[in-house]
Amino acid sequence: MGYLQSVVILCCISAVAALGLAILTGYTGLYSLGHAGFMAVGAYCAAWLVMRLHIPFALALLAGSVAAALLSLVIGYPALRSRLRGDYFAVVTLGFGEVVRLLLNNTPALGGAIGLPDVPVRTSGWLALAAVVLAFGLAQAFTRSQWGRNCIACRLDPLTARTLGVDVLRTQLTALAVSAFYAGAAGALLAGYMGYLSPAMFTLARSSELLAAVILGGVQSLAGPLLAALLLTAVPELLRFAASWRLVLYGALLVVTMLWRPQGLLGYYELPALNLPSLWRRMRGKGELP
Amino acid sequence: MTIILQQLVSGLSIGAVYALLAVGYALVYSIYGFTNWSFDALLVSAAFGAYYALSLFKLPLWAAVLAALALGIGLALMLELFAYRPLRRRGAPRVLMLISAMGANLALINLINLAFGGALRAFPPFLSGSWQVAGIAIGRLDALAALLALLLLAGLRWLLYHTRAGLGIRASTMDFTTASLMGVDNNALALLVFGISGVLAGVSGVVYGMKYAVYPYLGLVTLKAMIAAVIGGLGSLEGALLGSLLLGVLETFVSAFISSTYRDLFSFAALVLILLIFPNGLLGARRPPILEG
Amino acid sequence: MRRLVSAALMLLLVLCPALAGCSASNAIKIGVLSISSGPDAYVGQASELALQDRVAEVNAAGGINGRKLELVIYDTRGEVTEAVSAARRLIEQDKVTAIIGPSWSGAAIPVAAIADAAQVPVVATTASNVLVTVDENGAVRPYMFRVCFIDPYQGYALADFAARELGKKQAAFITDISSPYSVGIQQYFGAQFTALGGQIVAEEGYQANETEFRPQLTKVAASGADVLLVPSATYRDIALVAKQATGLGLQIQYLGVDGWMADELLAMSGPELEGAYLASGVSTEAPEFQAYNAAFLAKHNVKASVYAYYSLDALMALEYAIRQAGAEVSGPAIRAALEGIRDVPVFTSSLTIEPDTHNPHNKPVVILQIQNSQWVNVKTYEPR
Repeated sequence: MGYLQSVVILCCISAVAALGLAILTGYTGLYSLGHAGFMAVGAYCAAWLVMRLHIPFALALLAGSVAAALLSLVIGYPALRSRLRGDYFAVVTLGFGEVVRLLLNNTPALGGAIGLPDVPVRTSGWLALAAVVLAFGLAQAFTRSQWGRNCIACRLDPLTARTLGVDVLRTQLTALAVSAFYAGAAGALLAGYMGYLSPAMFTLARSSELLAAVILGGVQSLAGPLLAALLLTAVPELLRFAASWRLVLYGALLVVTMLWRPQGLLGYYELPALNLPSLWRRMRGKGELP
Repeated sequence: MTIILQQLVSGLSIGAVYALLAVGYALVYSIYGFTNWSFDALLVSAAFGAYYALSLFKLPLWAAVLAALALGIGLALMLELFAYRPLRRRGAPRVLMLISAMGANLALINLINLAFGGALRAFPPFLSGSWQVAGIAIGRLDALAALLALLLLAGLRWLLYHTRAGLGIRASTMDFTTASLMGVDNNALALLVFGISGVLAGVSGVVYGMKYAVYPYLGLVTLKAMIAAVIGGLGSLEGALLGSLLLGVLETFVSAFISSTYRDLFSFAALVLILLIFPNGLLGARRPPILEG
Repeated sequence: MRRLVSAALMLLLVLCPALAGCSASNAIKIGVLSISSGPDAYVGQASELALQDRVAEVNAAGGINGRKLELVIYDTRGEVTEAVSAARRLIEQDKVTAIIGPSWSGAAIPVAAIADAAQVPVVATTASNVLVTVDENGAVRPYMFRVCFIDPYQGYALADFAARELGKKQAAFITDISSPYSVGIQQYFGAQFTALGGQIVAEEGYQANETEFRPQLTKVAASGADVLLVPSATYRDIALVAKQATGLGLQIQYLGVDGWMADELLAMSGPELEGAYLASGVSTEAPEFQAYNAAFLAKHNVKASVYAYYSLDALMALEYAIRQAGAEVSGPAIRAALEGIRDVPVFTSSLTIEPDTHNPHNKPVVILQIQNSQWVNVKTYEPR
């Protein structure tokens, strides 16, 4: 495996996670500080299935993602039901992410705090690339569907959305589940790439980095968070001296973004060239320009 | 019996220091409705400031504490002026203030890490040792920290209930907009509130530095203070104090009688459960913390 | 479209230096998984200097089999995940022939799995947990070696010393349960101590980054223990345990492990730890190292450390193996040569690798005591 390939894989993993969070944060307006927890669930679930039950990796990846999505409903339902949002939701998810990490720390069957070595290495560059393309295509289909429009309505004005007949709770839960599914998939890919898992890989720092990528990338955009995740992963990997400055830069960029460009780098902007659903429709002869 | 009392004393001493910070969270939250994520950086800067004032510039202890306070207040005011005020003026959603605070914190902490390195720096021993009372050891530094916490809280209470500025703050916690219409100077008030939070962070920075040595990730403990503030009911000062003491005792008892490796699990589980089931905490206001983004 | 092009251009610009870095040279590359930042920076500081000195020396003498050595050093910050990704980068990007390090068992265990998969030999320096070189079923990990003793040695030696020499009967320990190193020593100590008629009266644990030990120490005090083992390689943990125990009025005989050997520990809590005993494989105070220490200090203005010694041992073992492998400088050839090391002189002593465990054979254990905030040799255990 070449070095470039490993950078590509790492970029793809952050991109998948960022795309999922873009649906939750950029479209639906819910800020999560616990997505590392969903990544951990996907990662450990997939690793366990591959190692103990010898299930093919693609299936384990799917199972890990589904597990993360289901778990997100367990935490999301009581949190969103009370119509408490904003800060509150961020702190609840933060607590949830830490609980997942600390539970793993205290689960000897999954390696405990010491970690799980000898996870089979299954994530190839092509698999990671395919995952990103698929994730992007599905996310675009989602955001352009009625669901996506409902998400935007809930972000802009939950009260009006409700009067217009949008089921706010259901929309938010759907967005949360989809984003957790993406995070789970990213976690499973990470497990298959690292060959080793430990709870220390899924800290609050990872959650906030992910949120930073999405906020920097832009509100109501998939292209923005995708690009931000790729750049923020690739640059420190390729320029090692930049690595130690990475977090300083993240923080400073966040403040600057909040002050001068709250919609983010590519807020409200999509890359037309990557519009997969429309490409698909055009290929099937039902041409419809984006 | 002695062992339970000893653990209780340890727990209270841990909780007393949480209280200093938890009150800071509660104060900012009650007025501005956002979790001030930058306490971490304030605390660590103050701890580093005090350490270098003592070791590099050979200042006496009181001067080092003043330096820490100055750093804490200065940074808090800078953040208010450059990271929060522009957002407030624009009427941005409050969660953006949280993101801004988080970004500033991330940048500052890692800047400190780059500038000073991750090595541990120990304060010169100060008030080491302990009193033995009926077989229970009470650390001198712990006692001082608890006393300091109580004094600061009493002072804060006096400020809130017996001064004009305090009246302004209390009016703003009820209704920020109306208070400003009734003649409360919002900007001056913000400087006062963030200045107070700087004092609280500065004092805790010195106390933590003395108890555990100074290093860039010392401020992780601020998360615990936030949990304490949530348990007590975000926005309530008495609640923050009560929540801190409860959390300190809970942590100590979990460590002692279940297993120390479950301690943080209990703390964070308490955070999630309280928010989900009982979002107003123990002494929080009736109204839910936030009803919109 | 223009934005797309500019984004692509930017990515290309970023990629260029990385691609240009992959130039070919004739030198034999040896990767080093070091720790040069974070709280454990003291581990890598002297080691890196010692390794660079040695490589310069070898290259000045014409290299090995006519080829120069080249070190590729990465900072792992003492974190397991960093060590894993640095090991992968060494193997995949830098195409190193072999790897020296990591220092901690927690990092060495996952690195061993990666090394086996890529067939790149790794010589760990101070990673002493049993499972570094053999897996849970006792099968040797083919590409993982080490030059330090293993935890059972120091666990047994400490238990023996505490029970026989100090006459202690009731032991307690405070273990970092997130560190395989800490857990390993504690288990072997416990087994041997009870076998010698002692009793374990308090088994306390904590996890990395803990700062509050009073709940555990209160229980230790109540248990009536007369000796407290703190098997940790993180000086912050040890220092805080000592300080907080003093604060609680707990006076107890401390037992330490080789991970204690950091002058930072003495600076932080030398007085509290006065009289503590610890086990180590080598001691910087031994007379045979004094000349080297003095020269090292004069040249770098940094004190040589046991971590530097072990790094040199690892490098010298690799030098021997590369020389034996001859023209065929490949992972499998060097692996075979490492496995065949018998009585090869390295920096600290003469090295023999046990083929079935990849551990060094017959390493002595030195018992040191902290006296006036100095390390002092007390006793040497020769292996049975």
